[in-house]
Amino acid sequence: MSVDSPTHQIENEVTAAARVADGHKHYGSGDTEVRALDGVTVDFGAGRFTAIMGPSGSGKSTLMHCAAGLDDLTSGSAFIGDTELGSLSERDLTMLRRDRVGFVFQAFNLLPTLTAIENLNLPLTLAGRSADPEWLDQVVTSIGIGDRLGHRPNELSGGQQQRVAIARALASKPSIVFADEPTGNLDSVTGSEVLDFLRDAVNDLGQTLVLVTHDAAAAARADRVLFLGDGRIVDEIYQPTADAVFDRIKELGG
Amino acid sequence: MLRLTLRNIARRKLRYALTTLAVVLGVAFLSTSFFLTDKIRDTFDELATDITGNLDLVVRTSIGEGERLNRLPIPEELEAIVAKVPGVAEVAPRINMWNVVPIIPADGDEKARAVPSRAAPQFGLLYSPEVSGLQNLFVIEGRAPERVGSLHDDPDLVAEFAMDAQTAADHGFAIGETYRVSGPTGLRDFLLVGIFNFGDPDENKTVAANMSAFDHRTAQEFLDMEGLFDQIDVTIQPDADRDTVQAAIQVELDAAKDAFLAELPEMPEELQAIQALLAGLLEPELEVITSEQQIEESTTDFDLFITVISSVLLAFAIIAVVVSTFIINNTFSIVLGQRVRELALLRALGATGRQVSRSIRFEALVIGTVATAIGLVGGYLLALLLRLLLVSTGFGELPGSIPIRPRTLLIAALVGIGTTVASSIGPSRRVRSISPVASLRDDVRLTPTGLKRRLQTGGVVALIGLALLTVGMTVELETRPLLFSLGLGALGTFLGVYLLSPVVARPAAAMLGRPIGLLFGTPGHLAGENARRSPRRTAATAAALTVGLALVSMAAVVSDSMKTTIVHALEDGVQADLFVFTGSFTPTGGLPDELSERLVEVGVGHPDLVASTALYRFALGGMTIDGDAKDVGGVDLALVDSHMKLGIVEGDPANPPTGGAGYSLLLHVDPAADLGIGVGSLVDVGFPGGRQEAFSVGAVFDDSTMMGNWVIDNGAFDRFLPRTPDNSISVAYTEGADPVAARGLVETITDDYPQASVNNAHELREQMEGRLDQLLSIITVFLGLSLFIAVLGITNTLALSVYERTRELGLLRAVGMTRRQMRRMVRWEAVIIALFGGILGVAMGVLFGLAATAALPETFIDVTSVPVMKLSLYLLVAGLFGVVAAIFPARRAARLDILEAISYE
Repeated sequence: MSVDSPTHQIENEVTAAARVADGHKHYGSGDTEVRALDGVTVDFGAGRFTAIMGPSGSGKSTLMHCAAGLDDLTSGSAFIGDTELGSLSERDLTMLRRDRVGFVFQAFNLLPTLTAIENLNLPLTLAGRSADPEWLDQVVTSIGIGDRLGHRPNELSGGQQQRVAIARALASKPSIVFADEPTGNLDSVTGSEVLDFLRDAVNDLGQTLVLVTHDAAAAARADRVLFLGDGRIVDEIYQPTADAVFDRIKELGG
Repeated sequence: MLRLTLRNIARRKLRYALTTLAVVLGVAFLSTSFFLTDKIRDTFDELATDITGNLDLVVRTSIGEGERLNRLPIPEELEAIVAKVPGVAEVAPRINMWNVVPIIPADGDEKARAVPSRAAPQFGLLYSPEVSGLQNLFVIEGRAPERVGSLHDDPDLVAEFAMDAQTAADHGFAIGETYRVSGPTGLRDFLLVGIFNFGDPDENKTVAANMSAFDHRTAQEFLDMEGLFDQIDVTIQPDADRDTVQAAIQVELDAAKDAFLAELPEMPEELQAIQALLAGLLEPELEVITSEQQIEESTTDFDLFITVISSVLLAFAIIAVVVSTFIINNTFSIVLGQRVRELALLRALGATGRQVSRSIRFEALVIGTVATAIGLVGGYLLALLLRLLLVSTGFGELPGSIPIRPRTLLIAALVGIGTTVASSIGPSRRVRSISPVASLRDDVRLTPTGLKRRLQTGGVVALIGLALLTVGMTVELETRPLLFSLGLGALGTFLGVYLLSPVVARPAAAMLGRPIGLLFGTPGHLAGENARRSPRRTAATAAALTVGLALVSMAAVVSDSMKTTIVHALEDGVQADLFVFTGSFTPTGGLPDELSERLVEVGVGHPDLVASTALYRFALGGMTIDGDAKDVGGVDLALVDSHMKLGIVEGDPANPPTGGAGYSLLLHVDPAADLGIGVGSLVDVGFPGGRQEAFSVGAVFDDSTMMGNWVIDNGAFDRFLPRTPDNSISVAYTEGADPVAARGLVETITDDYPQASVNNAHELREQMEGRLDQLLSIITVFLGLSLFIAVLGITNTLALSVYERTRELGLLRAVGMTRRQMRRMVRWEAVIIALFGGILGVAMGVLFGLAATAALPETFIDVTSVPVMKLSLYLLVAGLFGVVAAIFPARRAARLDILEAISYE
């Protein structure tokens, strides 16, 4: 799979790793009702890198949470592969997250009591499985912290910590990885490295990736950028450039 | 700033609720021990007054310190003599005979049984209808017992008796029915004609005693007091001066005594036996004392008993307070640690370090005050509950309200508020050093410094403690310095270990965590890591459990050693085949003379079955050597060698050297060595009533577990301690006798006396073991209450840890940890903490137990035994406590909302 292929043309032929159909998420009721998602329908193509952008309160984090099974929709449906999330029990949902979804958060991605390699293996060990050694080797090599694998998070730099978090998200070969502002706490150089690393995961490992971000430069690395406003998808760009994203944000008043 | 403090407390209800609960429990246990002790003391003070009655003066034989249980009676002739003294209004004789037991009749399948003894005597009384108010006996149903006829003339005569309302109600005795009563002269049927209240016309205040009352003559006949009374109660005329009357009576008593003694030698030859008996009774000094003196004496007697109970309760309360202090302190440290950012924000906004630290102390003050108030209420309720427990276990009635003394409130407040505020001082001082910048950073920790100094102090304290323990174990010391060195040694060891424990906590948690991680996967592994991450917290939390388990384990080691000692004694020290004794625990418990007489005769018709019967007596402080009271045992010295293996070192008990007045005694090698005496030496022995007699040492023995250190002949008991009943009886079978037939023969007699239990050596051993086990379980339950606080401490720490680790737990849930795995993780962390505390506690308990057994006298313990199975069970229970403690925090952790948790600041 190559990024050079004109993705937008074949978009309909790509199977969806995850999708949300007519997703609504409301908080409160009556006058104080907040519609965090107000009828969102979206497919996240397998092997694609999708970025979600939008101003604060636009519903981008909510969309990610609902699509990832961390939160439930008020109405509509969310799928990972062919599995409808709303019909799953709490326990099945946990299993699904463990086996088929990877997460990278803005901060506090790693357990301070576990070493880097233990953190990396956490979802697998929780499931009582061990990683495919070849795959693990590939992932471990790619994060490039080599000799520091036995160290605890407080002995790693912020960038290294985020790479370990990404590696953890990849280790169980999930159908899809959700990353929520993974570079928000990093300086620009380190942040850029981490984004490269994510991009490589999609290119080299064929990983499906959804990235929630504020940063136009980050979004520009995606295959496709979705723009959210007031709980709806207001626009999207395929094969974006940083300038195009930046212009669109300005237009949307973000 | 103060308003902010109060608002803080209101807002963080959960954290404060947990801190408060620890204080509440400590205060509740402390105050309940005071409430209950006060109530018991009041009850017994009242009882001392009730026993004395509404009299002015008491005539009786004089008695020395510690001899009251063995007081001698007075001749009945004194009644007429005292009545004639000018100024005397009324005289009333009194008899209080112990071991008078009504028998509950057989009912259907239930065999007849004796009214069970509670922790108080079972009395037979003389009831004088004309002066009953003076005795504080008030018939509330039926009538007073009257004379029906002489018990001697007609062995089948059914005389009358009355009993106290409590005993009647407890066991269903009804007026108009005939009941069998066991007294010193034997078994006899009586018609129940009346039920009375003791102490108050409207309320029976017997506390735990059972009382049976008979008319004047019947009481003397049945209670083996022919011609005798225990004392004469005297009231004086309203216009008489009490001191004058008292002096006049004393003059008459001295004159009467001289007259009796002068008459003795003139009695006919054939009455020599009576003459000898009378001599024994007349030698003691007679005295007349005031009612206040008697009340004071009774109060002092009860005090001994109350002091035991109140010391136990107080010790238990102190343990509770110590355990709570650990928890309060720990909670404060954790809570403040979690609030560093908030406090730093206050600093950034301009609060001075002093202000912040003061607000923390003020918080502690508020919590301490509120918790003390709740704790006092809880303590009062707990006292009510414990009273129910005491009543239901047969300790006795404690009617009326439980008194609330200002002293109780003051101590509770001092301890409750004091420990809380004191616990906050360390953390509040640390808070002062928080820099305002900390509010902006993410990873600030409030770690106390000075771990190194703590280690040095801990090491020194532990070494001093161990040294003191070693001294107590190896060096011969007097009781007081011995207890001092052992107590201080144990305390030092504990404090030292506590100070050192954070260092041990990390590797210990790792060691305990490894197998759990291997067995229970990632949750188990994480539990181990979590227990390790804050060794101070783990150590402080475990310390509460350590205290409780150390005490329980120590009790287990001591009692197991005692048990082994007894088993050895019974296996090695006993020759006889059958033992008869009462089931009661009271030191005054005894068997009726009639039973002894019949059992002594049992072998006569059946020489092929029973060889001999030995009777045993025991008098606590019954005699004095050089003014020191000694417990003395009595037995037929000619028989003792064929019933007991005393391990005679020197001499022959059956053939003592003659010397002195012909009385001989046996003693243990230790006092023999202390006094520098041996076989043939003469020893001056003091007895109640100020009598003194020279005894020759007949033999020296080295096994004191069965008979104690001092043993004299029953003949000497009859002479000097005539009121002591036979405490137990042993029967030796003839060689080659059929044990079943021999036992059957004995039981044809004992079956008539439901209060007597018959045991062979094996059964005796089981009985003894059973009693010790019972004692241990009572102690364990009491100490176990402190474990309850410890469990709460673990819950507390875990709840706060869960709170602190909210984000981490959210992350775990997000990446796929199931709720069950999350509960498991918290649960195993609790188990690791509990096991850590448990192992330290059991290890220290064994050490303390070994020290105690080494220090205790040989009579109690001469074999040391460590009950490995029981101790392992304690560890298992400690682990289970962990599981219980984790229930609430684990549920809380599992129910965390993932999204909120991830975004939690």
